[in-house]
Amino acid sequence: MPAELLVKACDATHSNEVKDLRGCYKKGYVVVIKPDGWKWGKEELNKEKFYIVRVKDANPEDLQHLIQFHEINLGTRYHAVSDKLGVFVTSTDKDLAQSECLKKCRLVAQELSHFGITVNESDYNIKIEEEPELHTIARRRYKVDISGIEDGLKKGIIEVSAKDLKIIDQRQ
Amino acid sequence: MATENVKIVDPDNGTGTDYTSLSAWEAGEEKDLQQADEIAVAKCRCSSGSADTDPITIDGSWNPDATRYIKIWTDPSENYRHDGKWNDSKYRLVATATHLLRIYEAYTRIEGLQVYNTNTSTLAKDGIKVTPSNNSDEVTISHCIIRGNNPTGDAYGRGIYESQATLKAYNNIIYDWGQGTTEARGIYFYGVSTNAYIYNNTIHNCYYGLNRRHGTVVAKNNITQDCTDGFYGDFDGSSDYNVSDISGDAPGANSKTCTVSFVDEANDDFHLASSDTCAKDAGVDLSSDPNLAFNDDIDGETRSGSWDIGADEYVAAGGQVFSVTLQDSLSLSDSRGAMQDKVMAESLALSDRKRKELEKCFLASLSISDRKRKELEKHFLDSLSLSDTHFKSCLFHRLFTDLVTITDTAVKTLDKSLQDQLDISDKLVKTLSKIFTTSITLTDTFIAEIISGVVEKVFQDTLLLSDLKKIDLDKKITDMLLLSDMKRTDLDKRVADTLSLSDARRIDLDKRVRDILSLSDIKKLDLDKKLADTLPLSDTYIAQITGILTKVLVDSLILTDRSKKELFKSFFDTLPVEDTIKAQVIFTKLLTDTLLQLQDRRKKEIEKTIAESVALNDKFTKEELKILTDTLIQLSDNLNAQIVWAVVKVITAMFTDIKDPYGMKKDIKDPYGMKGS
Repeated sequence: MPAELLVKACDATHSNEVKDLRGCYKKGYVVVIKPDGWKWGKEELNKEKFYIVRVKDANPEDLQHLIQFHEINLGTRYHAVSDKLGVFVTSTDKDLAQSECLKKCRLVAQELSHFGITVNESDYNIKIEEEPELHTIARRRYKVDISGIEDGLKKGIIEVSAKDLKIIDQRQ
Repeated sequence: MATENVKIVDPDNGTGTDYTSLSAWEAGEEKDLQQADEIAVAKCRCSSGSADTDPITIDGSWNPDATRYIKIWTDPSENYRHDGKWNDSKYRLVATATHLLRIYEAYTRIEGLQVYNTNTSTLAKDGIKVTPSNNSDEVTISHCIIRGNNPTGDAYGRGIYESQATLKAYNNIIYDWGQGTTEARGIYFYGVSTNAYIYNNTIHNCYYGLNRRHGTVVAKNNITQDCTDGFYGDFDGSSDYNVSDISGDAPGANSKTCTVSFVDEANDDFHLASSDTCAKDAGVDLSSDPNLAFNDDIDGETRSGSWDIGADEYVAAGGQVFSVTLQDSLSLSDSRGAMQDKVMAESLALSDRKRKELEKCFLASLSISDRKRKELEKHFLDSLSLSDTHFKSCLFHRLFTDLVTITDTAVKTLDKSLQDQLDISDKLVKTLSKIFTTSITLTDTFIAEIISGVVEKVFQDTLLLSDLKKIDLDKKITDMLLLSDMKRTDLDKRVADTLSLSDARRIDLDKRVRDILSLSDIKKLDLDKKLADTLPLSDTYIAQITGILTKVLVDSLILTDRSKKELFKSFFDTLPVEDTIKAQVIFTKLLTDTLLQLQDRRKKEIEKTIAESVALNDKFTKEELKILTDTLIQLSDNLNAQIVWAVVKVITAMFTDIKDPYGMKKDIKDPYGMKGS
């Protein structure tokens, strides 16, 4: 039984890297997989939002892997901490974490000076801690390479065989 | 004021459908809500009763806030919301998933959905997982039925899983999330430093009903039944009016331990039964709660008076009228109290019967109404279909006729136009060919000129650049030469300095050599003196050795003489008497000559040896000298023996013709082993 793929036709973006990678649908991501002849809604047929690809020789169950997620590592995270002043900064850049923490400590120290409390830089006692676990998120593993068939998709549903469906594995 | 952007989600693609799944709605509608100044609303329907079977994650570019939020719901004014009990003909999200509905976005409101995660694996699985980024991010879940599939073993099922959010959950029914292990929970509060307000929920058949692990959890008016532990963890002190069927389980002074009577527990109808005395009227009015205020139940019915505990507010048919009657009755005198109670009980019984009859009538009416509605819909659709068919048929016939006429005319016109265009086209082709040929020629010439011009210009530019480069290089060379001269002068100076230093060094070295030579002379004199001192000693040694040797020699000779005499005696004894004298004379002469000759040679050798010994003297120790001396003595003995033997041999040779009557020639002994030498 053939299957129909609802494929995102444009990129959604977010300035936050985690949200962008994890949650924003990108062009080529398969949103849902339905059996052949599915009656799509009005917005699902909007070519500015979605394309529909009919896979003539695959069941929807055979294509479920296209909506799988995979874990990606966003790098080590560093925490710069000054227990004395209660300042905590996190960054994937170790030096940046330290420098930002120092900046914040100075601000706190400046505020404290108004109350007659003097804290010297040597007393900030900034410690750098490396996050023990990898900072990972789940992201769509596959997307469909529609570059070769996009003109056709803009006109309507395109039928392909499963072997001709160009799939990009985003792990590579 | 933000505008509502309402989209219809209907898996059956009924009238007005925008999306056929919530998942597609999320993917198609995600946008920056603050920037768009919108409230995103998904209004869920199921016009033919189909389930939405795609798991959904609310995440990405939404960027909501308190006034521009996300709302996913079933409109109670439509006919697609459940009726307080799971209903397979109403909108429902059903799939086997890890997280069936996952919410990463703040300010998301879920209302009136049926959620059923059919996953029975031992891996983690949730009905709704709430994990925005910040603890202050508010997510509200209400009027929902959230089912698990009774996972067993390592169940790891959570009806609602909260982390990093301010969760407000009320009027929900949550059940069948597993009894297998401690990981099976109705609602799980995992977020550190979060706040959760959990009001009027009914939780049934889970290992833990409400499980607070982290954060502040305020639980009010909740029912947990048939759970291994209904309320697990430390709840906020303001938690109260809860019910559990486990003693001492529900937090709060006004909480109760009792078994709630539901309408049909076996079939998951968790409406309060009229006979219930546990949850009914046992709750607190939360319509003015500062954190989460509401005044309805899961069915949308208004709560009044003393609130019931759990998702359902029991409202008997006419119950409120009786309530007023009861109030009035209670105001009567105590003496009429018993009568009032009796009347009340009878009234309640009547009321229940009436309610059941009415419910039955209502259901029958609904059934008739549904059938009627479906028939009407069918008629309407058939009519539309017939109407459309007839209308389309007439219109099509007319249009077709018109089109045929128009088409014939158009075809003829087009034929003529085509012929004209072909003629023109031929002419154009010829003209264009000519132009093309000319253009090619011109182009070639033009290109050649351009190339020539470009090459010449490049050449000129290169020459110019080359000149400039040359001048620059000349200048650099001049500068370098100048620098080189300066460097050379500097080096000369340094060489001169070095030489000057070298001379001084040489003079110093000469002086030192002289000093050393001078010392050497002194040393030499000293050594000479030491040698001179040593020589007398040497002379002494030589004298001693010579004396020893002389003595040895003399002793050897003495011995030799003795042996010789014995030998001779033995020898001469063997000779005939007439030959003896002759032989003695010859032998004596020969012996004497030989001895003298040998003694001279031996003397020279000994002298030479002594001289060498003297030279070596300083090198020998006394022991070595002794060895040397012994060796010399031995040599001397051997030499003497050899001499004697040689003489014997000579004599023997001389007397070969002498008779040997005693056979002595053959028996001459070789006492010194000299035969083989």
